[in-house]
Amino acid sequence: MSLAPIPSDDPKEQLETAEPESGDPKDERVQLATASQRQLIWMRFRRHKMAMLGLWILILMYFVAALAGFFAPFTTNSAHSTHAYHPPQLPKFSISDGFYVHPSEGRTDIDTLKRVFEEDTSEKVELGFFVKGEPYKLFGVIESDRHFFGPKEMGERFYLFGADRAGADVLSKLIYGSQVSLSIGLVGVAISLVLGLILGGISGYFGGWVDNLIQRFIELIMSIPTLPLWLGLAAAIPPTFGIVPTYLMITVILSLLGWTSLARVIRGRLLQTRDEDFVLAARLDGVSTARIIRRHLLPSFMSHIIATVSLSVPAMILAETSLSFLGLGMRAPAISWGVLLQDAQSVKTVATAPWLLIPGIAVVLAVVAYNFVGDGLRDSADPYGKRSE
Amino acid sequence: MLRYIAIRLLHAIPTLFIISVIAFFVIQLPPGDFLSTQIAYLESQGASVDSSQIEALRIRYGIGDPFWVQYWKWITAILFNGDFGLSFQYQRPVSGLIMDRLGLTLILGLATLFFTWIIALPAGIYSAIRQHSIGEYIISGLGFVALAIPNFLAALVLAYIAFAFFGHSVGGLFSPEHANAPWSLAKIGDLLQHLWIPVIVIGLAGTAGIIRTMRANLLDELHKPYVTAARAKGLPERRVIAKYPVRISLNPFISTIGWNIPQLFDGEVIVAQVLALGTMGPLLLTALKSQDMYLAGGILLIIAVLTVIGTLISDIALAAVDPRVRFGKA
Amino acid sequence: MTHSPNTRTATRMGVLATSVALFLTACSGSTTDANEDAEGNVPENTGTPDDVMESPMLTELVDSGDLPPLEERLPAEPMVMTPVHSEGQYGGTLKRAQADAQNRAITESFQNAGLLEWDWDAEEPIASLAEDFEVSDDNREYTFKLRDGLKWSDGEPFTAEDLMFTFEDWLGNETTMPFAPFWFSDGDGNTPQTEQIDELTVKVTFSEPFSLFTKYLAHPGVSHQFIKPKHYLSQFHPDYTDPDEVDDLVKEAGFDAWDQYFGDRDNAWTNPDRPVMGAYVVSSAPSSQSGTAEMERNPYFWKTDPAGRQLPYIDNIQVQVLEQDSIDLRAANGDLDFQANFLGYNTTEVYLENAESRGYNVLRWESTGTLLGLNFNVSVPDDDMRELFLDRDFRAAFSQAINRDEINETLLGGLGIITQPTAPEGSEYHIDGAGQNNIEYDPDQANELLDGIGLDETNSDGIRLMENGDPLQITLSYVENNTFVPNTDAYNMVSKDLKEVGIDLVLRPVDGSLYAELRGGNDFEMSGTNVAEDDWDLEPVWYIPTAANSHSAPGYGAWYTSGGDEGMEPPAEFKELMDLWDDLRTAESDEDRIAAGKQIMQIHDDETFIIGLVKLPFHPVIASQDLINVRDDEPKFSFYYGREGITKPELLYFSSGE
Repeated sequence: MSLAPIPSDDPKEQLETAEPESGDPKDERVQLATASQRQLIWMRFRRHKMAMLGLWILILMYFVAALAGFFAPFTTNSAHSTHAYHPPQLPKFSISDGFYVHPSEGRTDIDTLKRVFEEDTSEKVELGFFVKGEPYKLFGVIESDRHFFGPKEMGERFYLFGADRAGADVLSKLIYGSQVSLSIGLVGVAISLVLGLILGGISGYFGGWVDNLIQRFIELIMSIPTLPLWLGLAAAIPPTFGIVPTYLMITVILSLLGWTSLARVIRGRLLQTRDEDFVLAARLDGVSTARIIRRHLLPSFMSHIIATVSLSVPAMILAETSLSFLGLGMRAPAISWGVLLQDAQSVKTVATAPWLLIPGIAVVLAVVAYNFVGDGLRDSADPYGKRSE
Repeated sequence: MLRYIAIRLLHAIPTLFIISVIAFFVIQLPPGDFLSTQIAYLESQGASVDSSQIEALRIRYGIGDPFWVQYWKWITAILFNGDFGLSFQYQRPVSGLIMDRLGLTLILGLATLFFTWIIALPAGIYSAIRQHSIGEYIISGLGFVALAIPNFLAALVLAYIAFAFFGHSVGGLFSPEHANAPWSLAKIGDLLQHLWIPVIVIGLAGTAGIIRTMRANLLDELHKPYVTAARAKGLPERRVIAKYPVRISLNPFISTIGWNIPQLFDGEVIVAQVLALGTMGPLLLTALKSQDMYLAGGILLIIAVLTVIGTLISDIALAAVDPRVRFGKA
Repeated sequence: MTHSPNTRTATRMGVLATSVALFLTACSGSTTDANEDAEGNVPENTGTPDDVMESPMLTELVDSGDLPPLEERLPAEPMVMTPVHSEGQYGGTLKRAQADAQNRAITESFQNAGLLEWDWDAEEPIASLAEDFEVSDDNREYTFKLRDGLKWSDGEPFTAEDLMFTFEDWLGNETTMPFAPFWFSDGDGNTPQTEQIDELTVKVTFSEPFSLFTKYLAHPGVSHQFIKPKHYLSQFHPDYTDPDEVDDLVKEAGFDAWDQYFGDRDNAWTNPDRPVMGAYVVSSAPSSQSGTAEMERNPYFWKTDPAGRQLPYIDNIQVQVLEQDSIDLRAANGDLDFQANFLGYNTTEVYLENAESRGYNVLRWESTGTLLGLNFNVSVPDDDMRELFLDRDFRAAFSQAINRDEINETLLGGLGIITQPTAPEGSEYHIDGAGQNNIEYDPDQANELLDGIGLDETNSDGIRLMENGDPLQITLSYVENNTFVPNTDAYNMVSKDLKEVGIDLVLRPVDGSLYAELRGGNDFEMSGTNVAEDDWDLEPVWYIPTAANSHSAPGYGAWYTSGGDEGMEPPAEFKELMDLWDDLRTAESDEDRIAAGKQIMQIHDDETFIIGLVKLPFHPVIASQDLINVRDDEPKFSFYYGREGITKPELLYFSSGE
């Protein structure tokens, strides 16, 4: 199969035939010959420009989410009474003052009910990097009051992405919301992974009636539309739960979506590899079952699992927004992208305050980035087999 | 072959049974019951409800009965009388409510599926032939973006655009003047005018997955020796690709069509809710939220039956094509 | 005075004959006078020639012999309505929308017909289907005389027989009505005595005075329930039709019991076959997948304009069932001709922006029932917390700690109205200056009060400690709602303010059904909800815990309804409220009733049992520029007055005729 004679720009072919881009060709070949599987994947992955871009975007997003307190100009509870629906402000720059915006006061016109903002051009809100502002706790422990970018003077306001209907900064809410939204996929996938590994592993390794039973069970779950399943389960979360347990419960519910497909992938891979010669050899050598799975089978399809996983994370990010929209996910005053979007889901917002839809862009960005990364991983993962299931 | 079909049919029975139990169970999970949602509803309309009257009603509806008793009542009525029970909320027989909407739901679902395939399959073929080209990146990028936009938002924004720029009101599947009119060409035209937003929103979101699968299938085929042989014989490239590889890569789609059925219902729920379409989605949603057990259970059961039938057809089709499946080797 | 609800009948029977007999005659035309000063650019009635007395649509039917002539369809003495602006012309279809198919509010607004109806100011019940009515001077005996010659929408006569059917076979039937409803109850769960005097006259006799009966009969949410077509419904009632036959019908329709099917057939909104007395008949029900209901004029409607033309002017109404966003868009696009219900205040800005270009006006009606409030659960099971909630100083401190101006400024741009819950100006129970107690933002005073009642220790977070050493944490349960004042945002701001004085208010948004359950189970600490203000006597539970669904004291409510067997015995101040409510309900004269109501308001004003925040400045109403006779004098938009019905929709007409 690898002897396909047509010229192709398939990464596989490129890898085998293309001249190295730089450096000593001989070195590169030696490297290739001795590279571990992980290195091989990485080398192929790097050639996917979109996947690399996606990866960088994700790294940046998670970095900002982890240091939310630092990157958000304000804390989540900080709002200003005359700044409801404040439109976004683009910082201006002058040599003498650095970055600044003009402060403005809003009022509601009694005839049109429009929010009217009058800029006071005689005053300036000076902006700067690493400014002192509202205190926060990093990772829940480290106390600090430094903010990456914001007004130099404590108490002054600045809205890069505008303000919401309560006069709170959308950018800050977006950053704090990313903590929930970006992690919900990871935690959910971790749960799916455990379930999928165990059930798929059992199913694929033992085969027979166990396999049959588990497969029927998976088909069963897949033949129920997911939404009602979520609805029922999400509605069953005791409302007395605090924000954190609710969040965990929702992740568990969402992971119901992920584990079945993952279990199928794992089973398929196991069925394929368990009859390979190297497994037979190991078995004949008297290696224990557990060790065979761990040392010989798992590594052979780990890359595939990673690829599948990276494609289920974005599905969960989206699912979180859907649940919030249906009023069953997280709820204000908790903050997540889903909650922010649910608040923005109104004709008024679309017509008069479109900046409240910015969290939607964040969702799109994260989901697209994940998909490119997942695609890239999948293409790079398996040098010999198919490119996908 | 007949034996295979018989076995598959037998398999379907326990599946349906378990689905019906699960469906009924899930519906009952949330706290409270239909009457408490009813009180809430009346209160939201401004009325006061005397709680002592509620207890009497609860007994009348049999709401306090244990799970198995309720399940048994429900399932036996369906099996022996074809009676799906009464919707608490609508005070109408469930079967009538479902029949009212099933047709339009299928129209929407099939239109969406068709739209998705028309867009996604050529895009997938292009992506496979022009792998790693700018065009492929653009296609998959667009596919991902369509997948990534939360569809409630997309529906609202499109509806707003239709209003603001074209003075066109969206929402519902028919204009009021056609809604209760008998079917006519004008009414079909009116339906099409209302169908495009949901079809685009749901359909585009589904393209990414299909583009991806089509691309992978075709790539696999393109590397097979027979393709090389065809090329070597000097067949024009277009024919080389269209004659066999594309057709073979389409097989999996056709044979898994049955699996799309639950997704048809899933996909439309949120969009149909935003746009107030008269399909099953919103009906199911309100039934679940207000714990209208028989209605929600009835819909879920219908979906499950459709799915099982669909899968069965898929499996039979697959078995007809591929003897290995018939003998349980794959 | 100790009190047991079971002895409520023993009221002051001694004070009799002092009150003057109320004999109200609703003569023609007395319904409207408030509109004479209504001015503005109202077009003259252009279309209708003097000899056109009915809709051309009906004339056609008369000509073809499908309908009797107008004289035979109208009663001997039709009710004459004077239009707000001008007499109109016939024709057209009024387009509306609503958010769910089941909601029958539109029948209360556009199809309402009761024995009585509200006068123009929604203050006095006046005769409507009844030509006149008489109330005994002890408020116990009510006599209603129907107009002669009234007909159902299918042409059958409407008589006292129909009323007796309602009284005896629906209200008095144990299956259809296991408990007497509060609007037709003797106070002990039984229905009053009813009696048919002649073909057109019935008499209702309560065993104790019932001062609110006429109000309920004018309340569109209640009044329509008395008007049932015996000739149609008796075929589904086992007392009139062979039970086996009824049973067959029930089974065939897929119902389990006859009363369910009876209820289904009786619903004029979903069953087009059911004859009605209102201005419109449903011709196509809303619950099918088309999601569009249609109503057409009732050819037998019994009201006319001053020139004797049969009302309504508009021929058809079309109602689309849509989701909130779609309704907002349709409204903004000018696709709805007349709509107030289901419009969100928050979208008003968008309506206003498009009003001129898309041909409609945005009117501002008086908003009622939108005052955002916080209720202490004064019957909360936790002893320490209950003691706190029952402490007037605590409630005062709680109220003074809230910066309402900031909430108003942020969420309503300062346009909202700040008040504590009370009967507003213009209400008969209004007391001067009420609603302002403890309303000023004064955190220092609040701190002082809290220190003064022994809450002077705080934990490391600055939260005060209760006597048992626990931090003072109160959970607020509420149903999230963003169509009016966005309540999560408002409560969030309250929570922030309270933290400043050392009270930890935890927000707990819950589902509507759970909220109902929590209250029924007395399982909450505080509840957040909109509070009724005007005409709260129609739903006393807002101010007096008269039932277990009370928002502020379900425990006491259960005690009250069960006669002390269940629930929790209320403290003296609540027993006083209950006594006053009994006085109000069983008052023999309006003076006594109003005096009792004012006392209830006074107690609330002194005690601040319910915390008010802010209410909407108005309710938006959309009316096509083409539509005439929509009230522009800012009437009250309220469930109690039939919402849009307060403008008497039978008088609406299109200036263009369509």
